[in-house]
Amino acid sequence: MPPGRRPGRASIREDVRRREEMAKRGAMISAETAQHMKMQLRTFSTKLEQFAIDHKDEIQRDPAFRAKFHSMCASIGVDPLTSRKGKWSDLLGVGDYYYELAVRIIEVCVATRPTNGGIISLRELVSALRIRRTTYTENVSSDDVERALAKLNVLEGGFKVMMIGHRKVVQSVPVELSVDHTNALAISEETGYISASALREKLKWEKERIMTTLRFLLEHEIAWLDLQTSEPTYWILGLMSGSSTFT
Amino acid sequence: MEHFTTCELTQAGTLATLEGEYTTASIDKVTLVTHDKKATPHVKGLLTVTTHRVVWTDPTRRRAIAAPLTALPSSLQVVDKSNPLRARVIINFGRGVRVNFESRNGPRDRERFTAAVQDACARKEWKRIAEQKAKEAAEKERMGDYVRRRAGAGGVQDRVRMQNMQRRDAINSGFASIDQLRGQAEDLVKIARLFRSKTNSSGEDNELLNMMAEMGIESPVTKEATGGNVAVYREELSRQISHFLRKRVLTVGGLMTLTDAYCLTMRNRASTELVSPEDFRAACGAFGRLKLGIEVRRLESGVLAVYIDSTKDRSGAQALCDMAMEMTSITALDVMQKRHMPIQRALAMLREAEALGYLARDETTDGLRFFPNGFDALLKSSKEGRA
Repeated sequence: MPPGRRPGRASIREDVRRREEMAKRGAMISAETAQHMKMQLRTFSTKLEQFAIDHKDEIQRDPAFRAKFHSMCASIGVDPLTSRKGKWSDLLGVGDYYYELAVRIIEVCVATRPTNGGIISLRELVSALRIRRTTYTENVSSDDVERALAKLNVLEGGFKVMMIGHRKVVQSVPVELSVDHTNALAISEETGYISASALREKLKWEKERIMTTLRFLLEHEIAWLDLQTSEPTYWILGLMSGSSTFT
Repeated sequence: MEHFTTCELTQAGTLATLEGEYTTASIDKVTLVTHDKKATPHVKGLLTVTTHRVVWTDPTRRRAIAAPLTALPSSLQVVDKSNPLRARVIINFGRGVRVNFESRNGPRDRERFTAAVQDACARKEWKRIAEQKAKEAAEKERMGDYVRRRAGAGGVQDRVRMQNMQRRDAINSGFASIDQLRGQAEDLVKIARLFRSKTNSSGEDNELLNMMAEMGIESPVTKEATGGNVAVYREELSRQISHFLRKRVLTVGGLMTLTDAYCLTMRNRASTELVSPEDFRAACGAFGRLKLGIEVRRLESGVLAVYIDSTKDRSGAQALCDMAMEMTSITALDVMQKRHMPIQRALAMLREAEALGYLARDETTDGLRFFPNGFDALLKSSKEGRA
C-alpha cells in the first residue's frame, strides 16, 4: 500500500478487480499461444515429413544438416525413416525397409509392455503399426512384420513369434512360457479373459495347477486381475484387439 | 607438424567432438611424416576428417592429435604426391604434412581424404556456428530493448503475439526449399524443441521411449564415411555404441536386451542409414575385445543383453533408493512402470540394491515392498550415542 492512500473498501475492490482482469488476460494470452502452437506444430510436422521423403538423399549426404534435421524430427515426433518396400526388398527381404520396420516393431512392443507383459498378438501389433504409420509408409502386412522379426533373430534378444491357440503371438520379453501357460492363454481367445472355472472346465486341471499358472501370468504382468466380478477374472490385454492404444 | 595439437578422446576411444562438428571420413592405417620427410611417432593410425578438423588417432585409441581446417590455405589444401607404389598427399598445414595411406585401398583412401577436406573447407561449418551465435546475441539485445521500452500487460501480450508470428514465419519460410531449410536449420531446431517442451509437458512416463527422443548420436558412424571398410566400420561402430549405451544401460539397471539396445541406438542415430542387425551384433560382440567397460552377456533365458557391472557403478542402486525416498516405498511394479523394463529385471534390480544396502524389504501378504534402508543411519547414531 503506497503511503498516503487509505485502504478503503473501494480501493480493495478495485485491487481485486484489477487482479482478476490480469489473470483473465494472462489466460487469454496463453490460450491464444497454445492455439497458435498447435497449428504451427501441425504445419511443422507435415512439412518435415514431406521433406524427409523428397530430400532423403540430400539430407543424408550433409552430416551437419542431417543432425539438425533428425533433431527436429525427434522433437516433433516425425519418423525420418521413409524407405519404401520396392521390388528387391519384397522379393529378397533385403534393404532398409525391413530394418526400419523392425525398429518400429520393437518400439510398439516396448511401449505396450506395461499393459501386456511383452505378449502381443500379431494382429494387434500390425494394427498398432498401422496407426503409427505416417502418410508415406506403406501398408504393413503381418507377413512383413514376420519378415522384419526374422531379421532380429541374429540379435538373440528374446523376440519370437509363437502360436497360442489359433493365433500368432509376438513375445518380446525373455520369459519361458510352458505348455500350461500357452494353453491357459489360448482359453482367452473368445472372451479376452480367463478364470479358474474356465480352466477347470476346458482343460480339466486341478486347483493347484490352475493357481500356479494364473499366478505366473499375474506375476509376469501378462494378465490383469479383475476382482469386481463374481469370480476373479484374468484379462489378457496383449491378445485383445485395440489394447495397444491404451498406452 | 605445425598446427597439430593433442586432442581429447572419449573413454571409448572416439573423438570428443566440438559443437556442431561432424565426422565425414574415417581412414585406417595412415602414417604422418613431416614436410622434410622425417618420420613421426604417428604411424598407421586412424585419420578422421570432420567438418572442423583433421584428427590422427593412434592404433590403441588412447591419444590423438588434431589440426583445425581453418589453418589451411584457401587454395591447394591438399597436393597429391602419389607414385605407383604408394598413395600419399601433402596437406598444407604450415609447411605441409605428408600423409601416407598404407592400407590396400590406398588410392581410394587418398581420394576420400582429399574430397572430405575440400568439401569441409568449402562448407566452412565453423563459420556458421559463429554467425549463428552473433545472430542470437543480436536478437537477444533487440528483445531486451523491446522489453525495456514496452513493459506492462499490454507489452507482454504484444511480445507473445510477435513471437507467435515470428515462429509462423520461420516455419513457412524455412520449408520453402531445401536450401532455405539448410540455412534456417538452427532456428527451426529451437522451435521444434520448444514445441516438444510445451506440448509434451504431460510427460511420457516411459524412460526408453523418452531416450529415443533425445538424438544422442549426432555424428553417427556410417558406411560411407568408413569407405566401405567393414573392419573399420564395425570397430568405430562398436566404440560409438558403447559410448552411447553406457549411461542409458546404467539408468535401467546395468542390463538391456540386445533388441532393445538396437532399437534405442537406431532411433538415436542422426541418419537414415540404419545399421543391420548383423553389424550391430558384431559391433556389440567386440565390446570385450576393445576393452570398452561394457559387454554382451547371455542371460539364463538364453537371451543376449548388453551388460555393465553395476556393482562397480552404484548409480543404479542409488537411483532406486532415491525413488523409494520420494515415494516412501516402492514395488517391482513401480520400477517397471517408471523405468519401463520387464518386471523380472525390475525385481532383480531391487534385490541388487537391497544386497548393496540401499534398500530394505518389507514382505507382507500384499506383496513385496522396498523402503530406503535406514538401518545404517540408525546403527551409526546408536553407536555414537553409546560412545
